[in-house]
Amino acid sequence: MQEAVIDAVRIAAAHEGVAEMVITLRHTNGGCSEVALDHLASDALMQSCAAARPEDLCGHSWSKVREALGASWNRFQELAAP
Amino acid sequence: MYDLVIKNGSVVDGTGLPAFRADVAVKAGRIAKIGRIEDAAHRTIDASGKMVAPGFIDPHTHFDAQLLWDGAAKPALAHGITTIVPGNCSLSLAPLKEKHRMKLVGMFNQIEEMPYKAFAEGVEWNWQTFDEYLARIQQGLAINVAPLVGHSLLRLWVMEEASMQRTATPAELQQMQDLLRQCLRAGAIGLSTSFVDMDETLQPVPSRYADMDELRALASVLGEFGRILQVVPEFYDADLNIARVDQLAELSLAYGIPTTFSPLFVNADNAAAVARVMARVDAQFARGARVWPQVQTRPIDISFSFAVPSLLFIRLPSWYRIMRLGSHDEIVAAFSDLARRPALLAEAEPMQGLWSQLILRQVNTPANQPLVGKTLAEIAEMRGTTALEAMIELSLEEDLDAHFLATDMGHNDDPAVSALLAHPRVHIGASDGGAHILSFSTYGDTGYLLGHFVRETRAMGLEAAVKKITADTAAIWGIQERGQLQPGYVADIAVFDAATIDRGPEYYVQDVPGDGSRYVRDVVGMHSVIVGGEIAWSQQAGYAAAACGQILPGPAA
Repeated sequence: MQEAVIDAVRIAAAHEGVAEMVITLRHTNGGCSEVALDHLASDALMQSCAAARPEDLCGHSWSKVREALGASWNRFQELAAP
Repeated sequence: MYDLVIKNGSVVDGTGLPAFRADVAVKAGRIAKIGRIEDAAHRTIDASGKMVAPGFIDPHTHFDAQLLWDGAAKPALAHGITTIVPGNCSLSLAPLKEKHRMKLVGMFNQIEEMPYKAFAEGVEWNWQTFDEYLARIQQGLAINVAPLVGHSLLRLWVMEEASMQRTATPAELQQMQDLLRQCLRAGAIGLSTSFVDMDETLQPVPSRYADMDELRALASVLGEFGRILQVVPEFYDADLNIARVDQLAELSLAYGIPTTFSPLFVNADNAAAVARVMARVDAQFARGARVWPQVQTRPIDISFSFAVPSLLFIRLPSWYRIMRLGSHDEIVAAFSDLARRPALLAEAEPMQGLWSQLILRQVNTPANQPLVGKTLAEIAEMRGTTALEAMIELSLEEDLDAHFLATDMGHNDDPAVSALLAHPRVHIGASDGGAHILSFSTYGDTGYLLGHFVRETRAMGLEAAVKKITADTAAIWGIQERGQLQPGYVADIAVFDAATIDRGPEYYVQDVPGDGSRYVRDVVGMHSVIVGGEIAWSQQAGYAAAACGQILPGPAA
């Protein structure tokens, strides 16, 4: 099954004054969208893709980005869970 | 006899028309006359060589908490800002039930970096309703406040924990509408909401659980009063941003309200995307909608320390591995290992241009305090080493708590930013004044506009720039009788030297309750700031004791 993949990666300045990783996803219809990741999500993505450098992320599935975002955003939920 | 006469200045009246030589007389808090004034006055300001302009209006701030212990919203007033709009991004401090106070403090901590301790020691929680909060901040108010009410607060009040779980029922919608009417009657200038913000557990703030039916219901109430809707869209994605522009246009046309969204950033990477967003804004204005993008003037800086793995190092595998892997002691050990040092330096060498320009912004040891504010290139020269080695050594000397600043890393394309700021359908704002206090200074955007974009790069004329931050802002937000120097208008006035007006360097100051600190910038080139006809700040005497700030509601219902 075709799916969206990571097409490009750049480091950008987030408005809150830290560096963020901006992933460009290329969708199956040729369209592109961007997703910004904080350092925890970036780290999770680099690990899950076994990437040594940001460029190594290109070609990986968008689902890896989703999982990485979840790893960052939900990091407090495990602590809050009963 | 006049109360105050400002003599011999060049009047930039906020209309955008050319500056002209005239005196400005003030009586009973209002501008009485503009022209040649020979009558006596209780006080006189000699504005020879200075510009005399309406007080600036900052439409995007988060001074909600600071106003509880600082009625001047320092240093905003000193920068010439005579009116602030707090309560942006779905977050205000009222209406708020007692049981939800800590939840809100958590949101302010996450989003605005306002420390918990500041609330604990600086805030006497003696309000719940919006009018009680306004009565609280009116005490000792030295700056005008046009407060928004936050959508997340309305949801929290009506729906409580369910506000962070689901959409509202029809009955809850009705209650929110009634509550919003109460807040608008009490003095709220409009409603703020957010599609992106998260709370302290990184879960969406209550406003993000609302659907369009809820926004329509609340916008209909805004329409009853002719008040504004402020929104934080998905500003990082052009397609989503455009979709929000369309939604705001729908609300603006359906209910006859102005809307504004912020922020909108532009740099070399996203210029095409921003052009698409602006094309949509233009198209919606052409249909008669009012959807004002807010653009900040200052570039975005990045700060970091070795203690937290900054993504600036992600292109350096060895560096990033050290910073993300280890405990504090492991990081210290890795960078202290001189045998590893050559390989680390070689890996980072291609980014030498960045390292040299980094500014040392914060240290703890007295020995290194004199180096604060210097670039790593300067420090390296002083120490007889390289910028990279200086960065490592300083980090080790400070037990990894040396903070470095990379300036102008985003929103940094001057021609593109200039073009946006000058665009007739761009609203200058998005300063975030009072927020991000532990990361950077959000003060001085007006000085940067007049210093960098007017004087240094000549991207805008002075009169046009002043109009943008005075009369235009007042018109967009429905702020009456302010934003221009006209007889009969309230005497909110900024007297400044156009040859020197600017923002000063950023520095760290400990003036937040609970022994808290924040980054600030002083003003350069401001002579006097008058609020309601009284001198509220002067270069000579600093902040005045008089508290002449007012709560400014929007248009009458």
